[in-house]
Amino acid sequence: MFAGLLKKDFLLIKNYFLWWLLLMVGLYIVVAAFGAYHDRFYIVMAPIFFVYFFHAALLPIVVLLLLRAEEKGHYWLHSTAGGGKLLLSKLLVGSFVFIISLVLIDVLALFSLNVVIPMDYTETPGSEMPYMEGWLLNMGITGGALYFTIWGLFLWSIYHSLNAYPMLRKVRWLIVIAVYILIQTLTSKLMELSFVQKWFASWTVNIGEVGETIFGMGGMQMSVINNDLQVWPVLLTIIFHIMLFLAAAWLLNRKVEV
Amino acid sequence: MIELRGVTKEYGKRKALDDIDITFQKGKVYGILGPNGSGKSTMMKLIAGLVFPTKGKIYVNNKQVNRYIAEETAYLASEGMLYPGLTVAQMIDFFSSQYKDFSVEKANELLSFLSLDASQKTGKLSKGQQGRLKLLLVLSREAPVILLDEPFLGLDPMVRETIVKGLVSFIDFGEQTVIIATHEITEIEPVLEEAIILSEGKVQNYCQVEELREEKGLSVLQWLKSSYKEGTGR
Repeated sequence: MFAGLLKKDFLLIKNYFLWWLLLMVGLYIVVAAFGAYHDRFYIVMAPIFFVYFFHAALLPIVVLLLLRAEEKGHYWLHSTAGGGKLLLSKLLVGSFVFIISLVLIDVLALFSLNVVIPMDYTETPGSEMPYMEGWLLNMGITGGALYFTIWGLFLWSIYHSLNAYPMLRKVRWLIVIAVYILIQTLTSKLMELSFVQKWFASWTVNIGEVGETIFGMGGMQMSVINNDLQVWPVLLTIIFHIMLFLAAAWLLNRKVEV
Repeated sequence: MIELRGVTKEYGKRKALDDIDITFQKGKVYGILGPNGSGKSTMMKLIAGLVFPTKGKIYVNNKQVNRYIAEETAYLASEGMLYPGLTVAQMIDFFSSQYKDFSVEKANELLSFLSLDASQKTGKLSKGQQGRLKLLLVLSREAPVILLDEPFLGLDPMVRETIVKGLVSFIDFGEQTVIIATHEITEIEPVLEEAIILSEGKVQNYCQVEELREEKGLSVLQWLKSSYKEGTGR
């Protein structure tokens, strides 16, 4: 059953996915050809960085497109799969699209850097390929994309749960925004408490001698600072977002009506 | 068997259904009749587990209805249900992956019976073809309960006739309980065994179709009209 959901969700997004990949490659070829013609190949780095950061929005956009396909009639809820499986299928298909797209932009970035670094247009330590920084960039974007997506799923479920209350229908967006602000405020206040700070500092892991590095060109710079990593906040963030996902699944099962 | 016990469904202050008590017996074909806004679709969605009652309880084969009742109920929705980007074959494939009781063999029979092209995208189908595809997807299931919510909505008489023929040919009479919510009575009348009139969320009248014909010499449509007149005092 779950394989059927995955297949259906992939078919729903397949055309958008292929067009997006073609658009990325097409844009790259146009900018690269233009740059090469004017002896300024390094300009390809600008759209590459732009597309990199756009990936934080790509996953939530894909998942929301998949959810929108179900909104007319919500027939997907007439299913023996629970809310968890229904949402997980969309999240996994969205992640597949996201990963393939991210790998493609990684390949384009590596190819471009191979050309640009020997030309001394960018500042990288020792004129070496910034593999570590690339990994960190990929991880950061993936983390950001998952953050927005899980929140998107949760808030989408709240929005559609409110459909059953006609009085609240016109102010659904306000309620959704209020829920987001309230949870964010509560968690940030909690993080500021001194005993929480001490607890966080009690378990750290040294992530190695990365060194303080800054690379990039013009105003676009990435910095990596050697530091001990606090483990608790990472674990709590993961647990918190799993709980948000489960809350979204619960709302879908128990509160969203057709 | 389907039981609705003291079921009320409220949307804010409006009562879509008001304290309904009905039992649908196994293996019979029921018609839920009534004008727009009488609560027909709400009743179907409640039985399908897509909407939850404000008060009261619903049971399908002694199981209290929740989302997982989809395992026992095949539901034809008046809107949604099809993904425009998927082909007819992909829709059949998807349904067969979701419901254990889905019979691909029956789906193939229905495909030729309803003259549908498996390679066509559902978004490119005419309204009549979409109506037939929905029926195919629902009748291919060997579920104990079949719920058809406005199966004739926006369809021409020829398509309606095909749908009725499909029902007659592919329903397991005596085993499957079929509930059809509609306000298009003429075509469906031959297959109905019992009919219920809903008005403003309440059961206004009930009849056994054969009894109605033999004892009162009335068609369901005539009975419906007379019930309206009595109900409105005209």
